[in-house]
Amino acid sequence: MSDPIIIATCPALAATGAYRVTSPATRNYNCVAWAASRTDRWWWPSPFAYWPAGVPNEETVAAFEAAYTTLGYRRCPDGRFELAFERLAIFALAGVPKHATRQLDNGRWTSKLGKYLDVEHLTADAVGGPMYGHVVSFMRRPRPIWRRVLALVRSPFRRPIP
Amino acid sequence: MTTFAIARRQTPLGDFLAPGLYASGAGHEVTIVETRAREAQESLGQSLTSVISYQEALLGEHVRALADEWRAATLLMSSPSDTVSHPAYQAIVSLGPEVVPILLRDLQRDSDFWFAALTEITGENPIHPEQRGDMKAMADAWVRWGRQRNLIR
Repeated sequence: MSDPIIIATCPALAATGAYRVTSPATRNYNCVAWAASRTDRWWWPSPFAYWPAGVPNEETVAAFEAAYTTLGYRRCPDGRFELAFERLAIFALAGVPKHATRQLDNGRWTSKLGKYLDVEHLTADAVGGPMYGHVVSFMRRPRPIWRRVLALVRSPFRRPIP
Repeated sequence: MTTFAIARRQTPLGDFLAPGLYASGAGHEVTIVETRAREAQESLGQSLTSVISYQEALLGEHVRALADEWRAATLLMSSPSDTVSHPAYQAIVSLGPEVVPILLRDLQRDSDFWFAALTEITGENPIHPEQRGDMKAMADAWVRWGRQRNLIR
């Protein structure tokens, strides 16, 4: 893949070329919502976006972790693949959250890039760079049983994206 | 409830025309103005028979250019605060109440992030807490607000 907009923003993706577009561009949701598996709203601590009730309305990594904690996620040390857990990662630049990504059942990661596309990429930090910074926090929650079966089937096929 | 009114301000056409366009004399200038106004009208989706002043058309063109620049620069940003702090967005805000109908018409076509600009310019926010983040619902709330004040049809 060689989308010039993505390549200019995510140098790690440019270096490997290992990503694929998985949905058309839409302004209906952003990366933080997508990492939470929601596609009906923008999530952000802003007067013009959804933010879970009771979570501090501030652009800090702690507030973003608290937002995902409302969905059952807990902080974990790394982004490895585990059948029993699904994961997400929070990106920050100079301590300010800029992006979030979610691990798929096949072990790859999926990111919504602002108002643009969803892409599937091999590692969480593959979309890191000057726009989003880098991963500062991994979180995980138990994967439902039926999705563990899906993950069991899909994960052996986790090979480089053509 | 705050009452909002659009103040009509006469802005020199030169603000929106490059100085070089005046070089060929007054007749040429008028031709350029007419052409650019017609292009701006068409870009705004207006009928050529509708009543829209050259000034409004040129302002619309100016806003459209800034909006295009802003959209391109912020396409991959997720943070609304980063998005609205972009210089092109702030340039649109600085144009003041005259751009409100233009932004509302844009929201009628496409739900983009004009909510912060509209709130900053008008001092109002018709978006209910339960609508936050829902782009379509937020756009609809502003369009309704504009229609109630006869700023858009």
